[in-house]
Amino acid sequence: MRSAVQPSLAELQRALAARILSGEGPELDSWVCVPPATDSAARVAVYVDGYPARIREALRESFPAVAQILGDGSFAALADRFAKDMPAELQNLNLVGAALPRYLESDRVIRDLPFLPALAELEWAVDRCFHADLLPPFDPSPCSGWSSGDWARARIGFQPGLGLVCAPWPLRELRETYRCERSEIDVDLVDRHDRVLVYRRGFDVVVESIESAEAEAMASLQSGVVLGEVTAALADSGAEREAVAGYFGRWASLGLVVSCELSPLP
Amino acid sequence: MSVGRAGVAADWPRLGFGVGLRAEHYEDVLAGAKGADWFEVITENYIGTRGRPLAVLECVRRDHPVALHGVSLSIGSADPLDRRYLKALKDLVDRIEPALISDHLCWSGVDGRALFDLLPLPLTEECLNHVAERVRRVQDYLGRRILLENPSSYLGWRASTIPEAEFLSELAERADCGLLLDVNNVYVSAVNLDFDARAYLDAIPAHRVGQMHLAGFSDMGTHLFDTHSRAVSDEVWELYRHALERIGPAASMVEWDDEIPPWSRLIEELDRARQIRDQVLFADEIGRAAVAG
Repeated sequence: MRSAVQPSLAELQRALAARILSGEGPELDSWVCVPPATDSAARVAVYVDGYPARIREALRESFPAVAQILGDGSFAALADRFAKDMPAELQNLNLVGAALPRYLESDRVIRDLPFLPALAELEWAVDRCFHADLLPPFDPSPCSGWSSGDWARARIGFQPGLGLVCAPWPLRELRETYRCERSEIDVDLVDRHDRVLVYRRGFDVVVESIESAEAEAMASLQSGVVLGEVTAALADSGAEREAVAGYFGRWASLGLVVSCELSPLP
Repeated sequence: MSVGRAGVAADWPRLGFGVGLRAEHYEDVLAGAKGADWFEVITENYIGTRGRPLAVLECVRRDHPVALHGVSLSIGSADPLDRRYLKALKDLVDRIEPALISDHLCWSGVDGRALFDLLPLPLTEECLNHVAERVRRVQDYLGRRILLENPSSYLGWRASTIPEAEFLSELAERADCGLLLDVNNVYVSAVNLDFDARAYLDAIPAHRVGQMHLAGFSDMGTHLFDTHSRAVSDEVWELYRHALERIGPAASMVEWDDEIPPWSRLIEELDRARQIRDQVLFADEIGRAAVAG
């Protein structure tokens, strides 16, 4: 039988969770049982210290370039702030990094490294692309009889793992820094806009820079805009009308397009 | 359930000797590296992925039995069972058709917050009822039995009234589940919490043990830490011998998750486990022959 001072299952779990997540909560000493001459606080610390350590490890795996650019100490401090400010709801440690790009936008590290949120977004896109499903590529044969009017109201579906990250920084070059020593990192950031496409070729993840018009077209199509409107918008901005057809052909040949459906007539 | 000669339940698959499938060994395994009879994978590494890891797992599964070993079921949490996780687990089970499914006797989060650890439960009647009822629900949902593993512990709770081995034994009976006996965890917890590891093994019902784990720990000075980062210790090998004598040849595997060695080094550990199994079974045969003769 439980003594009057002992907690229920839920009380005990909430107390230890509070200690792990915030260092707060009820005093655990009277609830913990360890052998004589053993420091109970040190044993509680095994669990308290384990939480940020696992977050650090998971983030380091998903964001190798962010970790390399920040260096061990700064990255660990960032991971610890993230762990404290953004308690995870999903039990899968592999998904804990999903919130890091957005978190970085308001973190103090961006004062000196303003490109970090975009770089983190790119690294997360690569991570997710690696694990994404690879659907069968688009079969154009059912569309062979479409008129130009039909194509104008076509909505394009892409591979679920396809990512597009655009930023006023040389993202692809910044991502490559995880391969080199931190002391050797030397990237010119001035006027280096980049639009990076992330996709799968087999089980490999491809990361390539594309032109701004192509990025604009893809971003619009990904958001559900029909092909005719995308083409018109590009023409308004000075691009060749044939350009979209060229992009579409390239995406199709890479297997990035998985569906092409007619939107309802207005 | 029928119970075999050495106390091993006949309906737990006798898989032999396996290892944890880790990305560092994908190329070896796909190239047909020998030495492992079966593979265990961390369930969460194959949930939510349709990329290379799942393709490798499916390829391995074509030639070998696979066990799914989870770390997120949080069977002892005061929170409701996580339906999203269970659905994902069932999808993976249906896809892989594993020989065994396991998780840990622990909790991993509360109030919707994930803590990413195998946290110790207060071993009380309240907790036993709670966990047994949840194990039954999980098994009903999956349509098959699961194994629960004894965790490594660094502290106990004063509220606990039931020794862990007894708790597991009673849990297995009430929920009709199996046990994954982690011999390294028994040793680590025994040192950390000052109990008799052999007595613990003796209290485990042999017919409930469907699988055994071996692994290495790190000595932190003030406690042993279950790091899975080194070879199995001599003390754990001795305990494993004792476990085999009591339980029989349950499916056994070596976990090595950090500072992962080359494939050949990992198989050396498995071969040592095989050697001990052979010694124990040979001694058993001699003893029976002597009694009969």
